[in-house]
Amino acid sequence: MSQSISEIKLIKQNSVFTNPFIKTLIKKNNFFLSAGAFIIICNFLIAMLTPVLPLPSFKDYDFEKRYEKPSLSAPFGRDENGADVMTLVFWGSRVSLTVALCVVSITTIIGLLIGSIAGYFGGRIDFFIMRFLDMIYAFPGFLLALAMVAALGPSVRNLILAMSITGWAGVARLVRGEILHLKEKEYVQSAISVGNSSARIISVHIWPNLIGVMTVQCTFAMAGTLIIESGLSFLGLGAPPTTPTWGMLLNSGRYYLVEAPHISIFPGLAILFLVLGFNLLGDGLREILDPKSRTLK
Amino acid sequence: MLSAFLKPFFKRILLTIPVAFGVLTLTFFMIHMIPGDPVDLILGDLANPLDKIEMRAKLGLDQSMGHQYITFLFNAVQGELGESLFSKKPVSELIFTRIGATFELALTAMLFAMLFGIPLGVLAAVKRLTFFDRALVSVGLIGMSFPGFFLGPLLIYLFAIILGWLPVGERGGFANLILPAMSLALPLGAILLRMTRASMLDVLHEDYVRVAKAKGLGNFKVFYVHALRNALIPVITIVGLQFGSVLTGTVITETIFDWPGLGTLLFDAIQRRDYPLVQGCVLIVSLIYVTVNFITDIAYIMAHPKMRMS
Repeated sequence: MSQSISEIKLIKQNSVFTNPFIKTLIKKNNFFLSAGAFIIICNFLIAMLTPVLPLPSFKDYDFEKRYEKPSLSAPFGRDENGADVMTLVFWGSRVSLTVALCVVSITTIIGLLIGSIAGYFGGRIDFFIMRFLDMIYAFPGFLLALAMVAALGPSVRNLILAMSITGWAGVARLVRGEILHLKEKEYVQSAISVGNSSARIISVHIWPNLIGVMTVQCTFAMAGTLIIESGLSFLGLGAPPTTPTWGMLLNSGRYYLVEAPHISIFPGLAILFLVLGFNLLGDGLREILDPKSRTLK
Repeated sequence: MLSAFLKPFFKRILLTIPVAFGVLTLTFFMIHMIPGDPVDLILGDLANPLDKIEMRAKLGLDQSMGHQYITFLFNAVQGELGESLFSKKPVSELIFTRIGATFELALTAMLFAMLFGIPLGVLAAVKRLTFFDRALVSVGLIGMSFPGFFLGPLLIYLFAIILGWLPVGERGGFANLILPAMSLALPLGAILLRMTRASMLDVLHEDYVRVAKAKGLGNFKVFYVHALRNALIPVITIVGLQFGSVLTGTVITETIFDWPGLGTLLFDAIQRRDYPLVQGCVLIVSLIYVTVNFITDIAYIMAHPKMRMS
C-alpha cells in the first residue's frame, strides 16, 4: 500500500488504452495506415503459418518441371531446380522478418538508452556521446555491414550483428532531441523538484511521451532494414545458402530472366510489398501524430 | 564575420579526421575479424607450411598488432593498399581503373533522380490535395520502397528482353548507361519528390510568396523562381547526403548490370575471398562517402546564414 491514490490514478492515465497516442490511432481512420497494417499483418501471418501450411517442401526438386510457368499446382511457378517458388517466397519471409525485428529491437533499445542518457544528463556526457554518434553516423552502414558479414561469414546471427552496429545511432540522435525538448516541460521539472530518481523520471515521466515518435521511427527502420537485409542476401552475404531468402531468390532468378522471369518477379514483389507496407504505416502514423503535416495534406 | 564562418568549417574538419581514422581502423580490423587463421582461409587448410609462413610474412601477420596497424595506416595514407590475392596486381591500381565507371554511373543516376524528382515534387505541392498530388505521393512511396535489386532485373526484363530497346551490360555509349542509372535513380528520385513537396509546402505559406502573388506575377514565376529557390536548400542537402547511399547502392546495381566499376570489383573480391581487395574497396568507398558528407555539410552551412552563427 505504498502507492498513494494520486499515483495509482497517474498509472491508470498512462495505461495503454488511455494513452493519447493509442487513442488517436483508434479514432483516426487513415487509408495509408490501414493499407500498410493490412500488408504487414498478412506477411506476419504467412511467416508464422508457413511451417504448418500444406505446402510442398522447398527442397522438393523436380527437374522435369524446371522453369514451369505459374499454374494452379504452383501459383508462383517453379525455379531452376523445379522447386515451388511460392514455398520459397513464404519461407523467405521468415528470415527477413526475423532479422528485421531483431535488428530494429536491438537498435531501438540501445538508441533509446544512450539517447536518453545524453539528452537527460547533458553536459560533458552529452558532448562525448554526440561526438561518438557523429562518427558512427558518418559511416556507410550498408558497406560496413557488408564488410563485416564478408569477414565473419554469412549467418543470420552475423547479419543481425553487422546491421545493428551502426543502426542505433539514428535512434539515439532522435531520442536525445525529443528528451531535450521534454525535459523543459513542467511535469518533468516538478517530478525533478519532488525528488524522484533520474531513472524513474526517464522511465515513468519521459518515455511514455516518446511512444508516438518511436513507433514511427521503428516502422521506417523496419522498411530500411528489410531492404539492406535483402540486399546483403542478394550479394550472397545473408543467411547461409541452405536457407531460402528473398534476396537470394532474386539473385539466382536473374540468370533465368529470359526463360523464367517469374523466379525473380515473385520474391521481388514480396520485398516490395512488405517494405511498402512499413512505409505506408509509417507515413500514416506520422500524418496522424504530426498535426502540421495533416493540415498540409 | 570571417571567423564566424570559419569556425563551423574547422569544426567539421576536426570531426572528419576521427571519422576517417575510424574508417581506416575498422577496415584494418576487418582482416583480423575473419574467424580462424586468414592464411588458412586464403591458401586452404592443406597448404604447404612453408607457403603459409611466406604468406603470413607477406600479409605482415607475423608482426605485432600495433606494428601492423601503424604500417597499415602509413601505407593507406600513401595509397598503398596491398596486392590482390587473385590477380596479383596492386589493389590501388585495380581500384583506380574501375573508379571512373562507378562515378559515371552514380552521377548519372543523381542527375536522373533530380530531373524527375524535383519538378514532380514542385508539381505535387502546387496541386496539393488534388487527385494528381495524391497519385504522385503514392508513386513516391512505391518508388521509395523499390529495392534496386528488384528494379534492376525488372528493367532488364521490360526494356531489354521484351521491348529490346536498350542494351544491357558492358560500358559504352549513353544507351548502356540508361538502365543501370534508372534503377539507381528511382528510389532517390522518389525521396527527392517527397522532400521537394514537403519543403515547397513549407515555403508556400511564407510572406514573400504571398507578396510575389500579390504583385501579380504568373504562377510559373511564383512557384519556380520565388518559392523553389528557397525550398531547394533542404533538398540539396538531401541530394548530398544521398550520394553516399547511391555510391553504396552501386555495389548491387553494378552486379546486376555487369557494370565494370568498383561494385563489381568488390562483389568479385567477396566471392573469391580476396580480402586485401575487399579491404581496399570498402576503404575507398567509405572515404569517398565521408568526404561527400563533409562537402554537403559545408555547403549547408554556407547556404544557411543561421547555421553560420551557431
